[in-house]
Amino acid sequence: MLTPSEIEWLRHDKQQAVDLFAWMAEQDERLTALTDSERVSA
Amino acid sequence: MGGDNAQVQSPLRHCWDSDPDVVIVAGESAVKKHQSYAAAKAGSAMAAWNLVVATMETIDVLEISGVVRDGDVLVAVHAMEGAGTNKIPDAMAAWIAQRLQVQVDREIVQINRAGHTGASGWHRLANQALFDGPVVAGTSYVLLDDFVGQGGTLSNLRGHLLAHGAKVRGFVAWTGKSRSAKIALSPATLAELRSKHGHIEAWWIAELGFDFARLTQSEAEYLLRVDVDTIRDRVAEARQAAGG
Repeated sequence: MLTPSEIEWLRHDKQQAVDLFAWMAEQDERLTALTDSERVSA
Repeated sequence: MGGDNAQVQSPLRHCWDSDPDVVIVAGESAVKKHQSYAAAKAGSAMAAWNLVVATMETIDVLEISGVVRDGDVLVAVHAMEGAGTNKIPDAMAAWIAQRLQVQVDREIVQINRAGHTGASGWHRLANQALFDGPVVAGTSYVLLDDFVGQGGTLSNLRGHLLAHGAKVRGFVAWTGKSRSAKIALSPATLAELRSKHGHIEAWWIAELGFDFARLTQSEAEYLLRVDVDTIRDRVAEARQAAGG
């Protein structure tokens, strides 16, 4: 069993992962939506 | 909301109802050859994202949208593995959430080191993953993991959610064997298990904390392959090897 502090760290790690991957997914979608010329300048 | 119940040693299993099969995104042999696989399993977020994008985009998102509905919440298995945390399930959740516009859970985590990666079926049976974290009662959750083998981890996460008043809509695994997709134990398999091994069910409950009706289909089939002495010996050995 993890200690309470390890569980707290794991929760924080999950929150960071959720935020990071949400940002990555948003960036991927924005890039996909760009036209080829827009992508070059971006 | 569910509270912290870190003292609970047995998983919160529930009997099966009309639970759907696990949607398995990609075959094991293909994904394990991917150049980002090892780094992703070891905790690299960038590797996990590259891996998930490469494989998720090969499938029809409609297959997943058949499981996920408006208002559902995705909950990814988040666990300590070795030196880091495997972030593949979190990356899957973000990829699906972006496309289907649903929310992702931020707080439910695995509260023990089950050591399942690369482990035997006996180790997985004897050392169950346990979960804790707040649950929104009445909400429907879709459960995500990077691998489904015997289905025990997803079943234990399901149990945590159901015990706190939530509903479970379905399951998505990034990879796994196709025979693992059927997670809900069939009445026929349960009857066969009780016919063959019913006389050790009380021992099983004392050891594992749940009865045969709460096993997954794959777990039950695993137990049906052997005799009762083998079950008792292998469970004891697996517990001992894990330091339990």
